[in-house]
Amino acid sequence: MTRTRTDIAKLGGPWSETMVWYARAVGELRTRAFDQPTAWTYLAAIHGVDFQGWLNQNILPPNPPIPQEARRIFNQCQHAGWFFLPWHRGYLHAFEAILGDWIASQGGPGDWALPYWNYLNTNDPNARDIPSEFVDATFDGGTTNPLSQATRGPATTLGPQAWIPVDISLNAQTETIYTSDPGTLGYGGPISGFAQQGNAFGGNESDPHNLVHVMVGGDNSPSPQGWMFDPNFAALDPLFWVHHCNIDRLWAAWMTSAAHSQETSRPWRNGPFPRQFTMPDANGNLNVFIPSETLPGEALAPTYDDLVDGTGIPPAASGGPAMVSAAPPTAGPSRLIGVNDQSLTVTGTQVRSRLAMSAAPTQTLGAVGGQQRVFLNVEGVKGQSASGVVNVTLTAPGADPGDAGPEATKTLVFFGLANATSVEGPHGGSGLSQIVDITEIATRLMSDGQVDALDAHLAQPEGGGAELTVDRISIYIREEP
Amino acid sequence: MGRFAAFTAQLSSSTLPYLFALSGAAYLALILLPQGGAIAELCGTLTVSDLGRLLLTAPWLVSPGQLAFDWGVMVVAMMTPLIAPLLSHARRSVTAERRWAATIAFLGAYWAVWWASFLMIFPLAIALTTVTGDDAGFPAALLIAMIYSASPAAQRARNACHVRLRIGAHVFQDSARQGFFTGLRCIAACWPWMLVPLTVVTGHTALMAVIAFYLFADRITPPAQPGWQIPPAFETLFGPTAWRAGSFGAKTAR
Repeated sequence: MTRTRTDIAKLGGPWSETMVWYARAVGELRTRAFDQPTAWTYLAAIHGVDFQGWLNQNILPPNPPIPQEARRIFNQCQHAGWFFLPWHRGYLHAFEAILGDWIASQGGPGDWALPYWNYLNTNDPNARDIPSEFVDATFDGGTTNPLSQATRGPATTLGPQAWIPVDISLNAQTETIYTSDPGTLGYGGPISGFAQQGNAFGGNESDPHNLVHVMVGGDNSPSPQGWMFDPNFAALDPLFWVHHCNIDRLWAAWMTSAAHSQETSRPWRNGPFPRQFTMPDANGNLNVFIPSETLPGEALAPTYDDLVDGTGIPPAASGGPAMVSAAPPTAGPSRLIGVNDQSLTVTGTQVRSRLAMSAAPTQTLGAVGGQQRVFLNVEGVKGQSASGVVNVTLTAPGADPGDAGPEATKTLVFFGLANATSVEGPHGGSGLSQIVDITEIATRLMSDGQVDALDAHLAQPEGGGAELTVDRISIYIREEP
Repeated sequence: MGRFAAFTAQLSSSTLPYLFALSGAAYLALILLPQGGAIAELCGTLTVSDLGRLLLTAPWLVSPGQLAFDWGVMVVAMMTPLIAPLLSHARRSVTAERRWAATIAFLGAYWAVWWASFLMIFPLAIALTTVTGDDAGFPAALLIAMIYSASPAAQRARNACHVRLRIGAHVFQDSARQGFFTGLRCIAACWPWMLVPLTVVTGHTALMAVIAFYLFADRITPPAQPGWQIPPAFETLFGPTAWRAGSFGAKTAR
């Protein structure tokens, strides 16, 4: 039996058979106790759980039964590292199998598959709207709709807003390398260990993954943010799963290009150690999986109805992706060329920091997706908000950022900020880093040759949240191989 | 599959192979150097009265210089493999030209802090052996180390061992600062285990190696919520079933 995942917009909805069964299954799983491996709350806690927060929001009843394997199975989600994509693929597979098993047992389609929200499909004018099945109050002849039973922000469509002035895009699909060298952007993220919130985001995770989470979940401040805003609540929202299904599809599409280099080194293929990725099956048994099982042709590889619409990837050329192993992190071709001189506190008021440049990029900087590129790193960002947004404007030393023009500003989104800041949790408290391509900005600022310094101006956008701190700002260049 | 495959893959990554080589060289020095072994000679006879007797009969065995040298080699042998992620952080945060400076500063500060811990750990070992007597010193030290490893305090210290600090334009100072604080946090996580080899009469170096392996297994576990638990090294060594027990308490609300 093959489960083929399909675009919600192509299912003939609203309330196609696939979506009706999804809603019924979510409703069923929500009736199960927290310590049952097939319960809605158990499955969401595998991604991340703020136990006290769940109690405060009555997501869990007082004194819920805690599964004995809680420390092993909960808080597993892999973010800001190279396991982001394979871990979430295994997670979706387990979720889909559990729902599919119940749906089949109720007389539903035996090949039921998780649908995806194809929000970047330019052929669909309504693609960015939250699908109506996740908004309707009732379904199935008046039954309360479990798919809309979630705390969300006010946005009903994806796109720039005053507090997050940046749009989702398919820019990541042009990245050619899965694993980034230090300080540079790759498709899948930098080398990492088992890290619920690792160090730096990969291209796919940064945009559109993080942006969709934050756009859907914020901004309800100062009241509790929507669930999608926080990794410890996100998987409670049924929308999470169709969002991640699309993120996974983008990876599947990316891997069809012969121009792309998928990671296959032993440390990636075998996964982290000693804590390994573990998922429940439909019978409640716990099984370990490793990233190599998520690659095309392997047991956890999904099937999609289409890998072209809304993926930015042309129809597959023969041959598929190149499968390569990452270079050791210390031997990568990336090079640090600038670093600032101080840690910063960032609020709604702009703060400036000067970067001393040790070298200028060469005159032959490439366009996005090319081999010679410049990257801005905003590192060690910490804060108490579940996620954070920061605008960074780069100028020549002493220049007024107001004169720089909008193209000189990058908006960075830090999904899972509070998790990454906590020293009491599974991250360790080193904060998050965001890497963004500034090749065009650097080309313009350095067009006259060697520069000794650049100024970075940082502020939270309009209506910015709680104070953030930034350990370091740096600039890296990725040289030609 | 393959816990073993995942483990060996991890061993081959990062700076670990070089750190293991440094550690191995220090073990060899402990075994082969003709001047080595002062700590080994003292181990298990570290009561206050025995120390006085030694000062009268074999003062070369308590030579401060020799003890400091032996302790330093012992620290390099046991503690060097524990720092791969943070040493990598220091190295990748600087330009290629400054990578060696960052490495030397980090390792120097880390080893220096551990070396200075002798002033705390050696008196503690003497006190322990004096209280328990020669025969009970080893099991007592082992019990203390095991209980501490299971405690929330040890998990907090382990979590702190993962914290990366800013490495800015002042490469040497910033890397030394990272090494210094990593060393302090490492001592907070490991100190009772360093008492253990100081309480045995024979097999000192072999016991050091066993404990170093245990501490490595302990350190490669990811950060976790502090709470009473089976020491995380047991999950590394024996698999996740040994890790199921342990508290799963409330976290800070948003």
